[in-house]
Amino acid sequence: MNQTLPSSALVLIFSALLAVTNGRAGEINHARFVAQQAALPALEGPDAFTLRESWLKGTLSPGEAKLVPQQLFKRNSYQFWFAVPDSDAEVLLNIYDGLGRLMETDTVKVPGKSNVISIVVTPKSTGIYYLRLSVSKETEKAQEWALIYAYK
Amino acid sequence: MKYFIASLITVLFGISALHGQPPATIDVKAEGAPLISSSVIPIPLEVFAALDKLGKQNWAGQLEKRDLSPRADRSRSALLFGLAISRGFVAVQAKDTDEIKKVGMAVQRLAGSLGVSRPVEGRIKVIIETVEDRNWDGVKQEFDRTRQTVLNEMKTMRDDDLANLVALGGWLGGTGALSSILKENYSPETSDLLNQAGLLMQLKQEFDKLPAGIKRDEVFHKIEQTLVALEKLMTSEPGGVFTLAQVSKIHNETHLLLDAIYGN
Repeated sequence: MNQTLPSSALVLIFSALLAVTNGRAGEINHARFVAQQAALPALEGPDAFTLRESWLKGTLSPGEAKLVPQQLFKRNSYQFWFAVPDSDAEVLLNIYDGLGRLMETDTVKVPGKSNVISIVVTPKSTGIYYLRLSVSKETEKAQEWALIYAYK
Repeated sequence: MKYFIASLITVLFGISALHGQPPATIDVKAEGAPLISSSVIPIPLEVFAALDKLGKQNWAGQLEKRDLSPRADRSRSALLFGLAISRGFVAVQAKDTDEIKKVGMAVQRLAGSLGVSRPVEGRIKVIIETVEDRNWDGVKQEFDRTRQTVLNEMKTMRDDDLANLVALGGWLGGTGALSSILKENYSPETSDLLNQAGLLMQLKQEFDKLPAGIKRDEVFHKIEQTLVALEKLMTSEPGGVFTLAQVSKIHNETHLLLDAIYGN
């Protein structure tokens, strides 16, 4: 059997294994791992996104929302993945422009998973945008979250 | 009928709430808005990717042969580390293998002076190998990984303040190259990439929070002044366009600061 994984997949898996420790011995970040697993298909092929190594994390209570400011550049496309470790949790991800208006995006759901969601956005202008992260009210407990993104 | 309409509204609202429909607008400036203070600082490659979509750019002309050796002041070395990474990105854009290798070695020396050489060694080896294969996307990704490795190590060592300076140095290096290209080959269409006032506000807030001990070197007064000036200059008119005069001002402010950081 001579099956090989694409090199970028191998690198990502290796990065993910390193990443779950977040550079600190003993600190596991399952949420980032879930997000990275979901990102894999978008990072392959001729029109692949390039994953940024920097990422964000935090905690959200059920029904709570947070806003993350992010500089985006016109003519690029961006894909964001927002994840929590609890597979029973339901997450939501939206993006607003600099004036606080909800933007149209392509939502990419991961089949069978409600604890990770992805959106693709192609900004019409350069500037600061706001990602709105939230966990549904029905989720049982507060969740550690991770947000990663890629561009092309 | 009234009962039916009321029931329908209740059902529709219930469905909306159940599916957590997001608000159509948010007031990001409102007191108490649930804003997270940190964000991911874009690396120069993100803005370079946007620029490349408009045609071939003179990346080779942006390779500045300036001294990247470590300085006695660690804060300045942290800024230079960020600048070195951004120069690495420019060298990859220019597909200049010799320059990429030189930058790789400079990154290694700067990492050593910052006490984070061990995790960077392997990364630099991969960069050199990847350059030999002319795998430009791979080199870009490795420079980003090197940058992130150093930031993670600094945070582990409780050197968060220096990590912020690495991010600032990287942004300045990228903005220096971007503003040079936009000035050399001005078009209203490309000038929108300088619309970064919101990002500058964040960088300035992070800079202001740095303890005085980190900012002893005289160059930090210049950084403070320049960030204030750039925040105003990098706010575009509606439509996102900057005039050539505005682009030139941004270029001059950025390059005067880069001169001060390099010390020449």
